[in-house]
Order: sequence, then C-alpha cells, then structure tokens
Amino acid sequence: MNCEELTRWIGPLLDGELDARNTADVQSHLAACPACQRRYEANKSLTSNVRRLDLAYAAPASLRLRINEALEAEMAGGVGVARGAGGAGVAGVAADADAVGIVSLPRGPGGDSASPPSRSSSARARLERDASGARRGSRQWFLWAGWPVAVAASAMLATVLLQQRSLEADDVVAAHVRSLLVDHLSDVVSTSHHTVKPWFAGKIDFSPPVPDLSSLGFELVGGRLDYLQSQPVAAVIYRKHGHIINVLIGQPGHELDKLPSSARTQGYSLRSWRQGGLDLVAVSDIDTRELDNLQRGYESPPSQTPD
Amino acid sequence: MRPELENRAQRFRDLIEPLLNDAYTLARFLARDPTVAEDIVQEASLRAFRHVESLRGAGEARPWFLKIVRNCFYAWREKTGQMNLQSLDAESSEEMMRSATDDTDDAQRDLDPQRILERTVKRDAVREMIESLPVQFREALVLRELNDLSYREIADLTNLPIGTVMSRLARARDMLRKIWIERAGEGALL
Repeated sequence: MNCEELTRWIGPLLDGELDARNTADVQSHLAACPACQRRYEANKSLTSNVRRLDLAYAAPASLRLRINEALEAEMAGGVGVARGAGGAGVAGVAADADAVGIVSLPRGPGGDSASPPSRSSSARARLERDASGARRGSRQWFLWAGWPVAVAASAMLATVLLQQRSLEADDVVAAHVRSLLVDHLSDVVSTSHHTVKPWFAGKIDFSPPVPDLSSLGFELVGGRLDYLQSQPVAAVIYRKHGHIINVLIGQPGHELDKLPSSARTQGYSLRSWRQGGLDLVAVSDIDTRELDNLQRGYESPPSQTPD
Repeated sequence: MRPELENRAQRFRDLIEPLLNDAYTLARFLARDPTVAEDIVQEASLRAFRHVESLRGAGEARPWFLKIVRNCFYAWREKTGQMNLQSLDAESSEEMMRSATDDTDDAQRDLDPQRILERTVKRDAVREMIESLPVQFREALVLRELNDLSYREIADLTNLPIGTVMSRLARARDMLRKIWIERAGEGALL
C-alpha cells in the first residue's frame, strides 16, 4: 500500500467501515510512515472534534407544532375524516407526554353533575369557534410552553377538537398539558404533603387536600397555582411509574363544574369528583385504573394521612 | 377513528417523530436557513406520514426519512431557482478542493486541529464552516457525522456509488479542516 492509496482509506478506517484485512494493511502502513500517520491523526482529530461539538440541531417547537397541524389537516381533510368523528391520529403524532394529571375544579354551587343547557350551548359555540381557529388555539398554547409541552398541547387540542369534547374537558386537558411544562410543573417542590399543603395558604382562598398517597404508589411531586378560565385552581402533582399526575382543585363557583365524572380523550383520561366542597379533576394518560385508585385515595386517604 | 389512520399515526409517532431532530439538522445544514429547514421537514413529515406503511422496521426509519428530507430539499432548491447557488457551489467547490490539496501539508505542519479547537471551540462557528461547504460535500459530512449514517446508508440515500460517498466525505473533511485552520488562524473562531 502506498501513501496515495492509504489516504483513501483513512476516512473509512476512522468511520469503522474498513474490514479487518484492510484495517491491518492501513495500520501497518501508518506505523511505518510518519507523513501518513500525521495525516491520519489530523483527520481523526477533526472528526472527533466535530462529533464532540455536537453540532446537531434540535427541531424547534414551532416546527413540531406545524407538523402536528399539517397532519391534523391531513387527517381531517385529506383522508376524509369528518371533524367530530375523529380520533387519535393527530394527537398521537407528537404527544409524548407521559403524564397523569388530576385537575380538581370547583363545581358550581349545587351543580353536581348535570350540565345546564346554557352552559353547554355556550360551550358548543366556543368549541366551534375554536375548531375553526384550531391553529390559533394551538399557537396560544405554544407560546406558553417549551416544545414538548407545546407539542402535547397542540396534540391534545387537536384531539379535543376532532372529538368535539366538551369545552370543560378541553380546558382541563389544556391545563394538564400546560402543567407538563418543565418549568411549570411545580411552584413548590416537595415530597411531603406537610410542605405542599401549607404552601397554598394565602395563595388560594381554600385549602386543597394533599393526601399522602405513597402507599398507593403515587409519589407527591409538588404543588402549583394554575388557572382555568381565569379562575385560580390548586394543582397537586403526583407521579407514578414515571407518569406525572396533576390534581387540579377548585372552589365551588368555578365555571368548570360540568365535567363528566369520567372521560377519555386520546391517551388521556379524566376523572372528576367532588369532595369536601371542592371539585377535583384528574387528567392522565396513565392506566385508567390508576386514576380510579388515585380518586379512591383522595376520597379515603390512607390512614397515615392527616389530610 | 379509521383503524388505518390510527395505525398510520401510531407508526408516525413511533418511527418518525423521534427523528425530527435528525431531519431538522440535515435540512438546516442543507438549506442553511432555519425557516426553509422547517418547511422542508414539515413537507417531509407529511410525505412520510402518507407512506409510513411502506416503512418496514425501525432500523430503516432513519435513512428512509432522511432520504425524504433530502428529496424535499432538492425539490425546494429546484423550485426556488437555486441554480445560481448550484453554480456557486460548484465553483467554490473546485476552488476549495484545489487549495485544500495544495495547502494541506503546510497547514498540517503548523496547526493541529485539536490544538486549534481547544482554543477556539465554537459550535456556531463550526456550523457556519460546514454550511460554507458546497452542498454535495456538506451533505455527505452531515449525513455521516451528525446523522450517523453508514457509508452504505448514505450511498443508498443519495443514489451514489459507495466509492463516491467515500471520496466526497474525504473531500468534505479536507475542506472543513482547511477552513477551520484558516479561520482559527485568523482568530475568526473566537
């Protein structure tokens, strides 16, 4: 092997693309030829430096959102899926949120489960408006969020719109998704309910239940203030099997008191119930049985829990 | 939800969505423009979504999708009349190859990239250097160094003989090293 031939094989050697025999040939030449050895070292240095610099880009949130929207349109229009009959597809595209949220909302005074016509018609009106302005809605969420959340939010909204979910569920899901924001998940981070519960004092004018559910496998992550339809709710965050769970808790009088006790939308489940004069909603992509467990845990906290 | 659409969306999420960073990286280095790169990847994603059934397994997803991205890039390039870019590329390519060959020994004697780099590591600067390579060379370099494809995969993806892939990659590295040394020498890397 002469020097000219060897030059040709430097790259393949560095890239691990040379077979054993050629590798041996190249290496024996290198050992005997300082000029080629220098050339080899220079190439090696360049390649390893390029790699070490990690020059790859991350796809921007705006791109992921756009793709989601494009696929949404593709699924809704191009493939002939009527909006409203829709389903998972779009949401499935990008949502990778492994999260469970429990959103606890205040129900209207006296309003337990039935949904007044006025409410649902206004919800429908807004739903339709939102459906036509799905992109705008998605962008709004996007502005709130880092990309994984933006993507998830957009996916969730898409699903919600496709399935014509109720506005309330939409909002709850959106709140849940927003909570997945890395920086938004918790305002107070603590695994102790003794820390989380008092944190809400003075920030919200009721005392949200923060049971210790560790015996059920739900690890407390923290708490945060959130807003649903401009009204404050308390969010209590749990984690189980890597899924984040938000519990949103609100006072009676909150607009969002018409949630179905159980709902499911593309990978996310909702459970809502009322306890202690407060309304609670859980949203999650976790196994729905886990949400049931969580709800039971909330309603009858394990004995060590003073709450 | 139609089962086939659901299935398609699922496959897209499993196989393609994880490759968006790769796709954007390739598109960004090819197009040298963030907005255009987004357009390209969006278009590629749509195409991938439509044909994701034809993708057999996860193993081939990366070259498969990147090939679509590359096709979209060249389609965009043609559509927007980037012919002058093409000739610019060709020109600077020849120029660079000449000077790269001529000056390589000199440069190597004086400046080892490793030492230069230790003084002047700047990711953006190096990205810019790669962007300054003619398209066929930066393509080879990015597919290999950033997208981590094998020679065989690059050859399939670009419809080039593997020998051509090898020589383009070698050229690309020569050019990059030369620019690197030039700019670092002038303090441009800092």
